[in-house]
Amino acid sequence: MRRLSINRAVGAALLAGLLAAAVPSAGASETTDTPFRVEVERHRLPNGMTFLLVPDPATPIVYSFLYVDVGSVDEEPGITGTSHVLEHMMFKGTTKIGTTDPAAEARIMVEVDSTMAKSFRLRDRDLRGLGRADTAVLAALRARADSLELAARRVTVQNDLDVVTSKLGFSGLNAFTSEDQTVYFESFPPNLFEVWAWFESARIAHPVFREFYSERDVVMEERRRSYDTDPDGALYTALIATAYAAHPYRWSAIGWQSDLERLERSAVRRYFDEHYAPNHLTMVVIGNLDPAGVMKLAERYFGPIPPSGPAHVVTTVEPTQRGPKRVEVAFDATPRLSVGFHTGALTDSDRVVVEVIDALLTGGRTSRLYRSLVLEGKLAAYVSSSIRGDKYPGLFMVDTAPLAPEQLDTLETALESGLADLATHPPDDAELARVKNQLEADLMRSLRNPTRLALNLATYEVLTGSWENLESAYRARMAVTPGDVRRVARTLFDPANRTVAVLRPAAPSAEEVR
Amino acid sequence: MKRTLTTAAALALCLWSVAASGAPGTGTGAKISIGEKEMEAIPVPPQTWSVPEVGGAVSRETLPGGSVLYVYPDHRFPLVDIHFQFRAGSFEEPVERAGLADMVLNLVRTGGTARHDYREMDRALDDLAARVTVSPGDESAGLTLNVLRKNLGPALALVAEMIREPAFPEDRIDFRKQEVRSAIRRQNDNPREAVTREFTRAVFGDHPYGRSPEWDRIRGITAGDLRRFHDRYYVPGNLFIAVSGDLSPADARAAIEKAFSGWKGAAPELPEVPPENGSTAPPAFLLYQKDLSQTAIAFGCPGLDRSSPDIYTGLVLNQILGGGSFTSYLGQEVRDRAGLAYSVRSSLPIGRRDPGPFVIECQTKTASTLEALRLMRGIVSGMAGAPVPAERFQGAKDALVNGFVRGFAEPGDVVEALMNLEFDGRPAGFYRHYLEHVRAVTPEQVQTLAQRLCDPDRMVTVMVGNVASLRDSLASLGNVEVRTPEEPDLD
Repeated sequence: MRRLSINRAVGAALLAGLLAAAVPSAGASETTDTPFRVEVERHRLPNGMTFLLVPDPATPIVYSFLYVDVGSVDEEPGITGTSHVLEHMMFKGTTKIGTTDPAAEARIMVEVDSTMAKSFRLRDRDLRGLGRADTAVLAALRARADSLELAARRVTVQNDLDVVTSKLGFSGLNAFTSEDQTVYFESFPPNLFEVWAWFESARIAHPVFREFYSERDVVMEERRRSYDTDPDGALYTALIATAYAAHPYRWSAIGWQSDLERLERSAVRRYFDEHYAPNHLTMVVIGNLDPAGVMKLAERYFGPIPPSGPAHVVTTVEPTQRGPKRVEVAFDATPRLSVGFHTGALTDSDRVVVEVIDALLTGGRTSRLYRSLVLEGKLAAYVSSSIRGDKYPGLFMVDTAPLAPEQLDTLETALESGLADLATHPPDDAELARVKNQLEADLMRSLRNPTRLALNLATYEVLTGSWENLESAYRARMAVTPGDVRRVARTLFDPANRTVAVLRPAAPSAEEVR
Repeated sequence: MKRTLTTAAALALCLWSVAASGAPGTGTGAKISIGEKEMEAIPVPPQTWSVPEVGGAVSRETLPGGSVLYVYPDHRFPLVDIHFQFRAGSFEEPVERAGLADMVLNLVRTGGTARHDYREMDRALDDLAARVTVSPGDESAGLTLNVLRKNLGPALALVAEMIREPAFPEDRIDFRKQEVRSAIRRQNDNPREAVTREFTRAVFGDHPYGRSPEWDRIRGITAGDLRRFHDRYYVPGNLFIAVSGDLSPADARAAIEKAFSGWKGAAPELPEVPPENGSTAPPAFLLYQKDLSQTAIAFGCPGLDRSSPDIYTGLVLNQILGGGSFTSYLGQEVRDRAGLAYSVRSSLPIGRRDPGPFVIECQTKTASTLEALRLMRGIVSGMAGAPVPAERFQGAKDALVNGFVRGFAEPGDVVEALMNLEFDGRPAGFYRHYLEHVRAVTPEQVQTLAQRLCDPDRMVTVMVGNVASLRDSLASLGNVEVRTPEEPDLD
């Protein structure tokens, strides 16, 4: 075990400089701006775990965000969706939370796993066309697994983590998984700091994935709910699967249903062991806190957890797209359209230009596409854009739907020319200034919002090396010129770089027409 | 693997026999995990927070025109939020013009004014990086300005112009109608939205809680309708304002008085509202057939209004049943134990003017539809069968009491919460006594309320999915009606 001491890699630093840089002195008629600052303290434990602390005595509560540097991009075919299933399992407790008898429980889980493994292997044969598994044998295995689960219930304390924390005053214990990251969060009054450190460290150090197969079923229901029966989810899945040929960004964080169905507890445990270690964790804590007190608890509770090797690197590089791609999705819903263009990672020097392009195109009512497609063109019911993928080269996406179904093709053409227009008619100074004013205001909003602040701090810390790059990225965005926009738009919206995904109801068959 | 899968036919046989066997998992004494015992050794000092009230950080005053102003200064960031809230929601619109209140609010925001057409208005606001959002409601119409402190004056002047002098031009009215028409066309795209809409429509009929946009009613709305509604309800005597951000109460008052100088208008009389579900009684089961891999289920009945003496009991009841998502009966049994749903919950609003929707919802794969329904019905009726065990009851109350602070975390939350007390006609000390009331609720009170509310046989159940074949299985429980989600009539 390592000796515990806190390495103050960087002391307190301020985001205050941002305002001074961004605002060219307040208008003469207004009172002077009240000084404000977002004070961020970075601490790193010897085991590599990073803490970013933002004291804010004005709020009565504390917001905690544990950022794990792993997401669906770190998976491979066969285990897609594992990062997200693991996220669900992290709420199932530890060797102490959630059980009255960990040893008995562990014995039962071993038996459940070997029973499930037998049933998986039998069904694997089907996939190779080696004959259907004997349904009687499968049923017997299922009955065996069911009775084992029943036995486990005698020693399992269901939802213990949620129950014990919620009655003390923890709120919103939850998490999300994306292609790049997994983030666990909650809020709590500051009298609960030690309980917080106790359970958050315990589930990193000694998690137990009890009730694994029923939780896997829950995740499959989540997939049906948000992707199978939801037209937007279905279209998104199709878009990324088409835009990427090789890179693991081609599947969504939910994964493929057949992989979820085949997922074994042991595989998730291996995945956990590989990726969840203190040197892959960044804990952001915002609110009513005393940094020294928090770090004392951090040292005591997280300090003893041993580190592992460096974070996983995806070595597959997406080959350059060599022509427009298109995918059609037949779905019982009104039509809609999603278009994707390959772009760089968060660390790419042109990322800030793409962010400005994003704002120029769809940020607010005067943005180009909102005006041309929605307000004036009366072609679209909505239009929005976003960038997906920060760790590796991502996708700039535009989502829209025709106001009336018969306008689908017209809308697609209008969208194409709206995008192409950015390179031929780059913004003038007034348009760019308007967008930059909005970026400035949005920066303030993002500093005030604990969730946005925490995710920004952690993302920049992990993916760029320091949260302080938030400030340099902001400055770079404010320095983007019309020429930058023209240059980047030209390559970004090159048709050869484009993937179009269209969703519409299946055409009626000849029989139905008759 | 498919440990939850049983054939629908087999299930139908035992579907209702276990429905009233009491809430599950309550037979044995509560188990205490090793972890919970260890946790009890960790010191937890008492919370030092106390409920904010007017007079502390928050000020309240009545402006000369009759508007009520609440201010919570927050100097951490150079931002200001001003929330305007008129009593001009769907309660105020005539039912044959359902959608009118929403359309007025939308056109106030997007239609331009007598002095600036909508393009000029959009341009001016975006130049100032001002964000103006609207929030239509049953009882209110809300409009919120968020802006950098340095741009407050000009942005507020524009917002005041919108509120006072909207132009309601024909082309923008038509544009909004086409937007609503398009939304109606898309209303069955997502089964979760469809099930909620059809449930409230079935339970509440033409009452505002049951309304959803209908093209027949929308298309007939005229500029005159919009202007009459606006002139009657968008007046200072009918307005509440909540301000938080980088300015003092005196600065807030001065800025608002400057922007709205000379504005007059007393609070109007409010119209009668149709009764809840005044139309014919809906069938017990409404099944919308759509070929999907998952069924969206919603069932329930009217719940409590905010003047009910049972609101605190209702709060605890709902927390135990399905409001405290992962710790509730529904979450533990339907989701975690049986793996039947990703999201399962109950909702029992306690702040509505009229008894709001008490609803239980989940989505589950087609094959487990009846199993999930049976389980949920059993849990709901079980609430009435026996008092909730002491340990669970106390845990639910503790979660409500100790987590209460969460709703007051940010100045914007606090100032709007306090303003809404007055807007809703609740006493200013409401939150001071709130926790005492929650602590006083007993298991017997929850059971008594459950006997009134938690009877699945008196609830309406709506399902969207591959459900037409379930007609026979459900027939013994009440009228079943199978429908196809209609292509809305948009001509």
